[in-house]
Amino acid sequence: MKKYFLGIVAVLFAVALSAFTSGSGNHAKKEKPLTDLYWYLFDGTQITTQVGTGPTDKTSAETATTCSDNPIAAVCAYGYMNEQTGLPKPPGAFNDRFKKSN
Amino acid sequence: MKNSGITQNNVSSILIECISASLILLFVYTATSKLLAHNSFVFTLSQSPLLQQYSIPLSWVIPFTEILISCFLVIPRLRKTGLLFSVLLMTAFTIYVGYMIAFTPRLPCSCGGVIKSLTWKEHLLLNISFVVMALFGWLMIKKNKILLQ
Repeated sequence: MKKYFLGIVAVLFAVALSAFTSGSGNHAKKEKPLTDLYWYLFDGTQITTQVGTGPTDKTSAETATTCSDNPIAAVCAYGYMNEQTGLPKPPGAFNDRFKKSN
Repeated sequence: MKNSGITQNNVSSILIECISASLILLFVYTATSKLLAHNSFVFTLSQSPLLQQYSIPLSWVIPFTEILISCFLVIPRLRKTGLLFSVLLMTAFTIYVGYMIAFTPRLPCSCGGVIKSLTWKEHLLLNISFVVMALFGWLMIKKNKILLQ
């Protein structure tokens, strides 16, 4: 038992540490607070059409499209702080996005 | 001569224990963090162009491999194997981090716990340190077994 002591202590300490720190420092950020962005549908290669006529919050944009967040699906729509002119345009520094539901 | 040999063996044993304990701490901590925040882990894996297709199986394989290696490291008879697997696993992680730095530095890290708060370069340095440490431990065990024979 003595020879396993340090290993078991390390395991217990690691489990306790992870219990205290899990969920913090999470770089995969959860949904940002709802802000109004200009939303554009994305067909896989380029932006196609704007969702609505001006900036909208993400929930309203989700209602207006067939997009909904699925972590492992392709991107469905991008949200930008500024209106994108000269469509179609490859996704630049977007502020948010939807993934397809399927 | 005999006394210095025994002392050296004690120092080596202590060093191997410390290295093993550090690796156990690292692997159990990161594995538990990944399992506790499993959805988030899947999400960040899916962001990587290299791992996107395998995000779901990898999200289980990686933490359970870490736990398995930790079990090897806890048991003294299997410690040498555990250290070798640690070297291999940490080398794989280091190569992945190197790839992320080179090609997709803006993507989030699919690592567990507070390691996510490190920059990619800091993470690379941490990984390299653990590779070196595990390799050193493995070589020490190998050398000690030769001395004891």
